[in-house]
Amino acid sequence: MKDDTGGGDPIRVETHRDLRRHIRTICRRFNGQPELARLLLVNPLFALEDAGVVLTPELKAHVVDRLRFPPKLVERIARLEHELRAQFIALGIEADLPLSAEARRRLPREVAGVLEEDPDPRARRRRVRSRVFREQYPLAALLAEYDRARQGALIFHPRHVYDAYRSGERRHHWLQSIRFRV
Amino acid sequence: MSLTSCYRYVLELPLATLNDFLRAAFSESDGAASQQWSGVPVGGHLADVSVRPEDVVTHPPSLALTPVDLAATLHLAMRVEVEVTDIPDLDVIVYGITFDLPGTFQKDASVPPKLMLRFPGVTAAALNLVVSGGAITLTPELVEPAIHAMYDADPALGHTVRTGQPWVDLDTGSPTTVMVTIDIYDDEPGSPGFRGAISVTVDSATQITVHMPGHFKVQGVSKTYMNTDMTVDVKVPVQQSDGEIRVRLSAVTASDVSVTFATPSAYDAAAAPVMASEVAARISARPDVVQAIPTSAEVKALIEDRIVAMAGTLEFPLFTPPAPASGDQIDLTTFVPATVAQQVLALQIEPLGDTTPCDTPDVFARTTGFSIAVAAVKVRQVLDGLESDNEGSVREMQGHDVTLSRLDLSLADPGEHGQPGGHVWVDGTATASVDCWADPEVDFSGPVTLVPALDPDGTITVTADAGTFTADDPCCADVDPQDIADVIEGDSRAVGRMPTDFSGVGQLTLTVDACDISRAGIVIHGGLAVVTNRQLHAGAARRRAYWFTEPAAGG
Repeated sequence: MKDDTGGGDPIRVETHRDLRRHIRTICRRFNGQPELARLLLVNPLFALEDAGVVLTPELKAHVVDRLRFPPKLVERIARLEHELRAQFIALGIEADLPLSAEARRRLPREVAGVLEEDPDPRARRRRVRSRVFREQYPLAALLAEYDRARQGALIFHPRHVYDAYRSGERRHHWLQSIRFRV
Repeated sequence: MSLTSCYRYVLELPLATLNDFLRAAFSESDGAASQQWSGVPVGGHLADVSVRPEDVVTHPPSLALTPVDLAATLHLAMRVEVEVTDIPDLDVIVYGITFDLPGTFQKDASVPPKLMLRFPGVTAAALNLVVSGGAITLTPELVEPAIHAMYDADPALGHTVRTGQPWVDLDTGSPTTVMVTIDIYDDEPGSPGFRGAISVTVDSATQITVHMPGHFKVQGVSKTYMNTDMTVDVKVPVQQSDGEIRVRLSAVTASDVSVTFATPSAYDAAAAPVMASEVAARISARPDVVQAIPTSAEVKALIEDRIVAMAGTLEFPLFTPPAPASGDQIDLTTFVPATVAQQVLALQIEPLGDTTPCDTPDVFARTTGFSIAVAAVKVRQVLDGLESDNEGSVREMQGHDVTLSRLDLSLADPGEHGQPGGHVWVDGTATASVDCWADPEVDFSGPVTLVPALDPDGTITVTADAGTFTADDPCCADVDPQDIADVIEGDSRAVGRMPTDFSGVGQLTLTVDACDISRAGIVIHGGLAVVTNRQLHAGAARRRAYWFTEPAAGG
C-alpha cells in the first residue's frame, strides 16, 4: 500500500453531503483493495485516509460518532446504566456511572472474586461472556457488558496498532473479507 | 476400519470398564456364581463339593479379550470346599483355585435383547487351573477314634500288673520287690462307674497329645508305697502327606510320655520313668494310625470336572438395554457387538441403512470410562439444523443490525485449516446495517470445538466453543468476532438421547467431558461409576442407570 490515495485521486470530503455523494466511489476503492477494507475494522479513519479520502475534522468526528455509538447502542448503554444503578442500590454498592478507573478495578473483584485474577485476558473475556458466568455472577456479567458497550461498537485503534495490522504483523483470525454493496 | 462402520452410533467400553462391570456383578450377587454338588466320587471316597467366588476385592475377576472377534477369557478366583462324607470326622478341606474360562459375547434372543458372556465348550485343558491350599485340619475328632480303637485292641494297655519289680523303701533305705498295678481308663462317657476316658488335643499340624487317665499302685509285702490316680500325656508325631494323615504311634518313646500323679509322694521320681517306659512300649508297639484322604491330583481332577460342568450353564448379562421410551432415544437394543484389537467391546447401534460399507469400528475409546461415536451423517443433521436456524437471522451486534446471511459448518480432521485438533470449520457471511454508509458484508471463517454435556434425561448435547474466533489483539473488539462466536455458541444441540431407565442389579453414573471431532463424526468421551444396588441402598441414590448386570450363574 505505497499509494496513499488508495489507487485513485484524493477524495476531499468537507460536508456530509460530500460524503453521501462519494460513498459509492469510496466503497469501490475498498472493494478493490480487500486488505485495506479489512483495516476498516481496526480504525476506519486511518483506512479512509489510506484509501485517499480526506475528511475534515468535523466529518471525522461525525464518522466516529456514528460508527462507535449507533443509536441502538446508546439506548442499550442507557438501559444498562439503569439496571446497574438499581442493583447498586439493592446491594448497597457505592459507585457512580460511568465507573471510575478505581471502580472498574474494584467492583468485578467484589462481585466475582476471581474475575481479575485470571492472567489470560482472552480467556477472562470469554469466561465473562459465557452463559455459565452470566448465570453465576449476573452483576459482574452486567458490568462487563456495560464496560464493553461503553467502548463503542467500533474501537478506533491507535496508529501503532493499525500499522501492525496493515503490515501483517497482526491479523484477524476469523475475518476473511469486507465488501460493500454498491 | 472406520469410526462408526455402517451404524449411526458406536458405544465403546474399554476393558477396564468391562472389568468394573464384572466386579460389580460378582459383588452384587454372592451366591449367584456359587454351586454345590453332593456325592461326588473323589479318590475312592464320596464328597460334597461347593464352589463360590472369592472376595472380589482381594481376588477380583478379570476379563481379557482375545484375538478372535467376540471372544474373551474370564479369569476367576474361587473357593472350593470339599467335605469327604465317608470320613465324618474329617473337617471340610478348603482349596483356593484360579482358572480361565474361555467365553464369547452373544446377543441373546430375548426382547429386548441382552449381551451375554457365555462359556460354551470349555475343556479341562483350557482352564489353566491352579489349586492351592487343601491343608487337612487336624482335629481331635479325626484322631480319637483310632486311639480308642488302639485301647480296645490292647487289653494290657487298660490293666497291667507287674510282680517282683525291684523297689527301694525310702523309709529304711532297703531294697525290696513290689507289685505294680497300672490301670488306664477309657470308659464310655456317662457309663455307670465312669472313671475317665482317653482324649486328644492337637498341639500343631505335626503333633497331638493323647491324654490318658488312670491309676497307679505299688504294693510291697506289708506296705503300700503308692496308690494314686494319675494322668499320662503322650506326645505323638503326626505326618501329613499327599493322600494320608499318619499318626506315628511307632515313633513314641519314653521321652514323649509324661506322668502326673494326683497324690504326690516321695516315690514319684522313681515311679514316673517306670510308668513312661511302660506306656511308650505299649503304644509304640501299635501300628501307625493312617487316615486316607483324597490326593491333590484327585481333587484337581474333581474340580476341573465340576468347573467344566458349571461353565456350560454360566452366563453373565453384560449389556441390558431397554427398548427406547420415545422416538428420539438412541435405540440401544439394535446393538451389534464386536470386540476390537483386544481393547474394547464395541456396540454398534442403529444401522444407517444406506450404502455405507460395514467394517470394523476404530478403537476410539479411552482406557477407562465409555466413549460413544456419532457418525458424520448424524452430526451433519445437527450442523444442518444449526445452519438453517441461523441463516437469515438478524441480530443486534453492538448497536448495529447484522444479518447472518450465510453459515456453513463442516467437520474437519486434525491438521486441516492449520488446526492441530479436529474441529468444526465455520464459514459464513454477515451483513451489517450501518447508518449513512453502504452495508458491509463480512466474510468470516474459523475453527470451532465442541463441548459435550449430558442432561439428566440422558440427552447428549454439544455446545460450540468458538474460542479461537478472535483477533490477535485480545483486549479490544472492533466488530467483535466474539459477537459472531456468540451466534455459533448460542445454543447447544442434541446429538442423541440415551435411555436412562436401565434395570439390573447395578447402576451407572455417566459423565461426559470431551469431544473429538473428525470428518468421520464426533466421539464423546465420558466417565462412569458403577454403583451396585447394595451401595445405592446404603447411600444416596444416583440418577443414571445405564445398564447392567446380574450373573445368572447356573445351578
